[in-house]
Amino acid sequence: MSEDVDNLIVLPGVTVGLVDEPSEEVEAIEGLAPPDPEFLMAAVEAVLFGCDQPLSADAVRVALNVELDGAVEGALEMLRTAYQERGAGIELVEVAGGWQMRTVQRAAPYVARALGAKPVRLSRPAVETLAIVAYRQPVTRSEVEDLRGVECGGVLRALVSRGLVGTVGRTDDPGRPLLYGTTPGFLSFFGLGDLSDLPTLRDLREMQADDPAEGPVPVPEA
Amino acid sequence: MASLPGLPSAVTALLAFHPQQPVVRTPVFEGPLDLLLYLIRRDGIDVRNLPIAHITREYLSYLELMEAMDLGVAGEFLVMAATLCQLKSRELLPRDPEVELEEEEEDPRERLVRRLIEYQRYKEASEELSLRPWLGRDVYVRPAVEVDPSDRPLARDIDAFALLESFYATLEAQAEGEPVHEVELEEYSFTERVQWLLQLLDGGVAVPLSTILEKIGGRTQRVLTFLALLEITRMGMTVLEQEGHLGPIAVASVVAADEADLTNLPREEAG
Repeated sequence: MSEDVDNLIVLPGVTVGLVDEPSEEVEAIEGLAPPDPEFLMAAVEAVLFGCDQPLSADAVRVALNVELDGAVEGALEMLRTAYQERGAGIELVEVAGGWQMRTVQRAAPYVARALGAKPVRLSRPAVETLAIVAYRQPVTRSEVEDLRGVECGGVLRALVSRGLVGTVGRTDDPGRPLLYGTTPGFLSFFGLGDLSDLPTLRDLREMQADDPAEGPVPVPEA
Repeated sequence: MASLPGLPSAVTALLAFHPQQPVVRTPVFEGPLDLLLYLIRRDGIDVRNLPIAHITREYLSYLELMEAMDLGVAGEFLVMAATLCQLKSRELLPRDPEVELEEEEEDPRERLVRRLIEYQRYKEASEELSLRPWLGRDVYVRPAVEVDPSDRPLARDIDAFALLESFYATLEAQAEGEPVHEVELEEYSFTERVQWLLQLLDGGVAVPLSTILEKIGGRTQRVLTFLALLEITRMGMTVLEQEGHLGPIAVASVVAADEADLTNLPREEAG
């Protein structure tokens, strides 16, 4: 341990305002004037347009250097409504914990043609496996295989390489098998704000309750 | 179409069930559970009162059909066939009440029913997912624009697994290149590693983790540097950024190298 280091206090987490000598970069950000109120919604729109990733309301607030709580959230909602009301080809959606501008579904064939891209495909086994991982995470490969009744190693690998599924740990079981879970990319891909946006399995149970059950068989909870 | 000589009667019946479909478009099943559910739905059976004899007969004739069509029957289908036959024979045989009691805990028929219901549930969930607006199929976003990565805001929430994988990937990539004949006494110092890292990262520009680890010779030094990195990140001197899930990890320093407070570093092991 070197003894000659000053007893300078460095705050973890970088609380900018408390550091004695802010760097130039920090000053530049601090000097950034927040947008005028009448320009706020447009500025929010510009920031979302300029970023390809979903941005949380807080990230937008930091980018705009707006301190007021709720102002950005309000602007986001107004922007979303504005798009809807004028029947725009763009909509503002909440995905993966952030806000993102996306083309409306109705325009998909035209966008695809302009891009010259084939629509993204996922095989049925892939979607099935994704559903199981999404609802049962963290889940091991063998649990997925038990539920689907078929080998799933290849499908899982493909989902991992597409960034829809990731490894989230290991169990303490023999062999320490990997645990899989869904990624933010999964939420973004399916346009989900977070995992609670998935339809609940209870809904599904109601859906299948149309066949008359005579002897009620206890269905174990998932 | 309806009269294909040489095919078993069950096949003809199945073809009659889908008369509008050409033979090659017969549904392909993802697995035995999928096939069983199809048969159950087709025959309007209540899953909870699964008639084993009937379903076994239908299942086996479908396997026959698959073989007749050269679809190739995977092992899982055969395992299920064996399970069904076992269930059927179990129902036919008179039961010994004492044995019955012992077996009570896991009735294989109940287990099959439970698996079918469970599978059905996830199948419906996957149908729900299929109906959602998929990115790149139903909706599109603006493609990414090249931005100088050092100017991007740092994402703090990177997962520990990606960090470890990045570390191991570098270890493995360099493992072969190391000379095996050189024996050197290396000096290990945690504090020295921290200072080296901070010096390297001085200026605030993010450096890829792989680049950092590649600069270091020797496995032990690399492990020590990695631990040093974890420690100073924990102390808030450096931040880790990752571009998307499983993306490359970069390290950036948020303190000046000569101003860092190293007094709280773990003490060196004596010797």
